[in-house]
Amino acid sequence: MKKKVMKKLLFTFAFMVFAVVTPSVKVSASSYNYDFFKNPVPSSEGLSYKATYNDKAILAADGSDEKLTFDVLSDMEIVGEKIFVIDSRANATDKVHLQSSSSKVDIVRRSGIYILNSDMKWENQFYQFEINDTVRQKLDEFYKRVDYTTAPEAVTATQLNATSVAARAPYTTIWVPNENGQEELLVETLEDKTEIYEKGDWKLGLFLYGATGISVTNYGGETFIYVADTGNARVLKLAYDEANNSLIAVDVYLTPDDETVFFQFDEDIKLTTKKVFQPTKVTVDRYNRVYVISDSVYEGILEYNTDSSFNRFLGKNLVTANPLKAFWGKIFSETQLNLIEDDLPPSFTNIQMAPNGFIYATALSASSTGAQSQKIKAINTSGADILRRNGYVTPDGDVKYLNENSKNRDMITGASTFVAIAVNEDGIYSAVDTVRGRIFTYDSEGNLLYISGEKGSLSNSINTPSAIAYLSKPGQPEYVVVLDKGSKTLMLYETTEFGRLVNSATQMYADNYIIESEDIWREVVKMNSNYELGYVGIGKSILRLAMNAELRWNTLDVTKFMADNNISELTKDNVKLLVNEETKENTIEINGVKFEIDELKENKDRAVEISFDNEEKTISWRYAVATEEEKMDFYKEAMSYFKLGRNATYYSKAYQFYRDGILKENFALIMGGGVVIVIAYIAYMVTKKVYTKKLNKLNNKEEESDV
Amino acid sequence: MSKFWLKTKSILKVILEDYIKFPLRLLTSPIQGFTEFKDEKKGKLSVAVVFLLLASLLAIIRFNNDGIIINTNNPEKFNSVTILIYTIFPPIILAVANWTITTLMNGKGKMKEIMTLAGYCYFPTIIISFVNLILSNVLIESEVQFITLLNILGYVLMGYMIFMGMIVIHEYGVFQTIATVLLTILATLVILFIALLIFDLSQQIYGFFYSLYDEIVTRFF
Repeated sequence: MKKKVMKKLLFTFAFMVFAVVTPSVKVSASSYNYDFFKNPVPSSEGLSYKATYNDKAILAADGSDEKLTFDVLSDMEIVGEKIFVIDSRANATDKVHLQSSSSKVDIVRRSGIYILNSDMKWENQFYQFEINDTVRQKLDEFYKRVDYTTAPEAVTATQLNATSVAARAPYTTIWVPNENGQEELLVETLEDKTEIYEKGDWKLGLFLYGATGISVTNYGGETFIYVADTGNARVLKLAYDEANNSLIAVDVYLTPDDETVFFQFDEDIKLTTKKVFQPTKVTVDRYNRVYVISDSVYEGILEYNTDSSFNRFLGKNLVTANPLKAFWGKIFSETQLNLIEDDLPPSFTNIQMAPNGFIYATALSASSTGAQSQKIKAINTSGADILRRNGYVTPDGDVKYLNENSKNRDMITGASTFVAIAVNEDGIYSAVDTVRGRIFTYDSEGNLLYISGEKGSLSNSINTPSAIAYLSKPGQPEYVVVLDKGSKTLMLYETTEFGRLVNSATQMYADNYIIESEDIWREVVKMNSNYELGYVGIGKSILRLAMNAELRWNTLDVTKFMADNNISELTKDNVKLLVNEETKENTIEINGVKFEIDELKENKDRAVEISFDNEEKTISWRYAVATEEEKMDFYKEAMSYFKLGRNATYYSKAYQFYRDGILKENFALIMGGGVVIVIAYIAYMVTKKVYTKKLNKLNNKEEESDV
Repeated sequence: MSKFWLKTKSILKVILEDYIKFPLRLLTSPIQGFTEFKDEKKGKLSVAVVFLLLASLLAIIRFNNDGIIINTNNPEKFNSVTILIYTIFPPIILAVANWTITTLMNGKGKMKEIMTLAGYCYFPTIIISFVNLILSNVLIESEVQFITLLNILGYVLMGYMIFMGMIVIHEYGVFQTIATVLLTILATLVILFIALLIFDLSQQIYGFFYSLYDEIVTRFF
């Protein structure tokens, strides 16, 4: 008896120890995904952190010791293997030579363009840009409106540093060092009073003022850089000459001539109620049409024609109606009305021209709660949003998050806010969220593929992202570069094995290699059993297999067989498929020697297809047509995978075929059964009627006899 | 043997009469049916309770066994007690609210009758729910409209039954019944409001005592 009690106690104690010691499973914040029920589930990482580059870690490509100094990294574009970064340098003050002054003067916010190569070494940095005659003419024409008459040689630092755009000099003369130059200029006085002179020329040129957007095109070998020169209310087109290391402004896109919206430089800027054109981001399509978003402009994206004239507004965001606000608007007084926020359409945060020709735009959420908003849009030439949103969650970032009014102060609250987007050739796009520092990657159908990155001030976490771009180097996995304004760094993310598999399977599906993608999806599911997209992918390929009525290829290695039989190579002539006409048996002969395959013998009455690969030394065969039973098995298998992936639409598709098959198989039984039941029922009714009639008659007779 | 058979037969007959034939009569000829329901005591509270339990049982079964085409329930969130409470409480609260209103408006219905009616009105939805459970597993996504149609039919029949029942039980006219229905909804809201208030208050009291306990524990132990 006592022993039993002891045993019980010991067992309880052991269990308690086990319960305490067993570590609780924790899910890393950086690797999760959303399932069908919009719950976060642990997932494999699609992008993994590789490296961080700050200005001190970026070496010069030519081997010199000179370093870049990052200030406010605003935008980035990757074309080919070159990374173009624009630094708006909002806090910077530079000592610059001006023709009007004998000594160096302070110039503020002189933005710079850095050009880096794919090894993360800087090749060039530009702070001043020569202009050609077209640009000069356009600027002269435009600045006539403000009676701007200062000659470029006489521009002073005050005119270049003016905070008001109307008072600022549009262009000036810049010192261009040149060994064969005409003039000599004192450029530096060292501490031992040695004076250094430099040869060069004064040329017409300009500085940027707080520029925040960059876009680069390389159609037909010529590289053009488009810069949204925010502070100067213009977009510049710069021609990049790699050989001469020069960036020359060849065109300029000025304030749009829409007088209802924009300040036209023809009245006092302090009194105007119109908006000053402040281009923040710029993107260009392959026909050199320029698209610009401007600060506090709610009319949409601005489109410029190829001749740099303003064309139209595109893709306006809509306001969500707020009935409660409309109600209070009827009741409140003027002062009270001024206190509540206006219902403005959400403004765009970034635009990016995708390889497929659509403008991918990121916008703030339409409502303060962030629900049902369209934060990512794919805008076509007619301004309509054609982004597909077929995933379990819409491409709007995090679905589950703490409300902004949450009392939990340790956590980041509020919905995701996308600030930049990158689109690759397969239509897969990654958008970076500034609230939680996460990169959300979606496919062209709108499925959430993977989420990576986290917010923080550590070197491997995203602080305040400002741009994102794909960087692909031949023979290496695809990288994602994130430009971080907060930590003044470029961060490199590498596509993991998982991410690579998911990307390639998605691409194969888009390219209609659906059956072939099955193996890749199976790998994906092996790595991450929570991945519902993987199950759906497997299901889709099985369903396609069944619908095509062709069985997959079976590949066999014949290296040993060839060595045994002294066969040197596989050719069209020596690999033969023989069909015995009597027994209908399929045999494969290589160079006259039979190659035995058991499965072929067992299924002799079906047509077989073969192919071979001489380099790999393999022979592949498949049945041309699947039998009805096999098809049914496939439909059933596909259904089970769709159920795992929770895809009702495709489940229905597979189930419809399956149901039809069952009905077809059992048609005789069902119809026969139905007919038998109907006949039996009729017979029962008839006999009942007859019987009751007889009974009634009998009863009546009895009653009569009684009487 | 024959005695047992006779007994089973009579039980089956009662079940057929009480659980199927009479509710069907309520649907097909409501005025006569509900007069029998009230005057001949044909409406039984036991049957109403069984109907309510059946409805909640079906809701519990359907949570996990509905076909994928209409099922968006998360199996991890399955809680049979919650489903039971959510199906049983609304009719009870509505019945109580209706009673409070109709006693003030010269309704002839008793509390027991109203409760019984609340149970009986689940009859069409139980049958349609069962049919839908099967249909959702054999239909495909483009045929979901059938299920939706049946659902609507079920709720319409339910509303019809409640409406006719109220007319007969309380001996009201049509417009008076509509007014009572609206007032019942209002009364339900008041009841829910008071219930929430009590719930919140009790939670605050609990929180107060808990913080007191917390303070004592951290200070003196």
